[in-house]
Amino acid sequence: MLKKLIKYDLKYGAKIFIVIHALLWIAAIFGRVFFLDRIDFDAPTEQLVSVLVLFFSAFVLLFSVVSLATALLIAARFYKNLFTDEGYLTWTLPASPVQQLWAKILSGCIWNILDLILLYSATYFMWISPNVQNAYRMIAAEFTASLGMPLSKFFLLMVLLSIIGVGSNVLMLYASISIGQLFPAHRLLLSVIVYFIFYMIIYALSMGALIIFKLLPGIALSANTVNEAASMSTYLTGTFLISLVLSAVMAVIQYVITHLILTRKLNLI
Amino acid sequence: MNENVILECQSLTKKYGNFYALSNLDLTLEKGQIVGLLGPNGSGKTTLIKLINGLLTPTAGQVMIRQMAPSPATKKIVSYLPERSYINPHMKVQEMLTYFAAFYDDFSLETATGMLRDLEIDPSMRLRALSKGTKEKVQLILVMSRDAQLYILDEPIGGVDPAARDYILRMILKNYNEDATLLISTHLITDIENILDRVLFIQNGQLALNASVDEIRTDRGKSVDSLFREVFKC
Amino acid sequence: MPWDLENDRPIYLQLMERIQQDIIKGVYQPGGKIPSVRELALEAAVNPNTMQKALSELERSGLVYSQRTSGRFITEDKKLLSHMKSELAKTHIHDFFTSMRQLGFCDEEILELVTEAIKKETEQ
Repeated sequence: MLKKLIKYDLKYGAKIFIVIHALLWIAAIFGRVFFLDRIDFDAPTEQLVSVLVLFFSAFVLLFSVVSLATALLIAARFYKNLFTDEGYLTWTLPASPVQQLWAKILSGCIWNILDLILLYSATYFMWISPNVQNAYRMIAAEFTASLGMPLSKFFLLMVLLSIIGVGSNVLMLYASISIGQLFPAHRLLLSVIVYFIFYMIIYALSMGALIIFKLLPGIALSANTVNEAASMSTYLTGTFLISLVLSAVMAVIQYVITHLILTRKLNLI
Repeated sequence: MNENVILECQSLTKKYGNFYALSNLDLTLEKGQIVGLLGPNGSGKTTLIKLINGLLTPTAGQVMIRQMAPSPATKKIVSYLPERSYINPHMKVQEMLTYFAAFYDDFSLETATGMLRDLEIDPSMRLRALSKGTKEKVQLILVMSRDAQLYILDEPIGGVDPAARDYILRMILKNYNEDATLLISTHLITDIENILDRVLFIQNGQLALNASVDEIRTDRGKSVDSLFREVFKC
Repeated sequence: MPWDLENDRPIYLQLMERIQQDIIKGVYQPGGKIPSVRELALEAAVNPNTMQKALSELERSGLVYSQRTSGRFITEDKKLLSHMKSELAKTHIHDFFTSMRQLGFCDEEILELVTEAIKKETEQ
């Protein structure tokens, strides 16, 4: 049953998902072939920086849009399939609410992980442009020193962190929508508000944790300016651990909320 | 417990805010009947139906299908047609058939394909391209192609023309297995009166009448339709 | 075509009458098989249970008998069939007299009108 549910969840929106990620990759290929492979890193610094900033901003924007679109796709499937007219069919299938929820969690995670893989691989693809590699070799040592770790390790850490965060991202969407539907008059509006409240709670908690563990960059640096690189590295691993714990805790709470709503408070209008 | 009981509601109550959509409803239905669920708009028909299907949670009381509360086990034996379109409009008719076949063990692809052919509906069409009436027919075909124990049809003939209405009633009669129970909610009483065994009148969230059609005609010498008009006179 | 049924009388009674009429009209031959409950119900567009009840009643009156495996058959008892015919005739006559009396005719006047009507019909 779970398998079948996941299959149909993945089928939904597959086209949109493929199209937006194909566009992303096309942009990455163009970016590498027509920009990164040709750019002259020996050009005057001022000129180089402004062009690079423009290029990176465009890609950061593009990546954000693609991630947002993926999140919207996951949220839309959850909302439409469970809480609108389509829910009349979904909830009369011979599946339990727990199966329905897990199908949504797993399919959401699959979408999200695929999205991350495609984003990071596009980044990596642009990064390995020989032109960029040559330029980086000149500043690699400096860069490693300020990060406290090689860039490759940093990159892997980022990938790992975001993949671990996938479950809690998906659950945050689902919990917000489930809470929103408890207020039939403004379901979508409340879902959005709840999402931001969750977001703020997580932000406040992680800031709190950083302060408690004295990991905030400002504090750490002023306390020990001598060993800048080491503190940067501690900061990164610290943040990593805190995020891990926080998102695990939040994911459990959000799972419990969603589970309770779907099993006890389901009321289709 | 009686083996023949398919549906049982005990002091079933559903409250929305301060409004009682259903209050203390008791009802027992036996298998092998076609039952009309009649009542004016807002009387609680759809609320009752949604409670049976587990789309709403009761405020108090309980609803049991073959002595089981709404659950995956009851959903296996209940075939439900809601009063709205529940099909993802981007799907094709054929995909819907596959979907039903994947999830319901009692779904017959053959029956469904035959009915689509009879009604000249092209299975390769997307749902969104179909007219409202055709969409309703597709949903009814999906629901009636299951070999269920309890069929619940909420306003099955509301949006189609009289000719299609006749076909749909025939389709219901043809596909309904005699051990099954069919609960049909409608306001078009005259059209379905002849196929009913029993009628339930619902008024203000309570059962106002539960009688067989022949009882009504023999005892009161009038049709269900005229009795309905009398009971629910404005 | 769904059968024409009136709204204010039990459906099974009307189904019985209709089948009796079909027997008299020769739609079903004495000794012949009649369609299954389901087929008849579909034809009449009525509930199969109601059709079942009508046929059971007909069985009780002896007009129809069932053989466990092969279905239901019309009786071959000619006497019973002609009896049914005259019973139906009596009902029609009774109904006719009732409505004529309601129009204010006395029995002699009714008879006169009937003979007159018959004359006219034969003349045509």
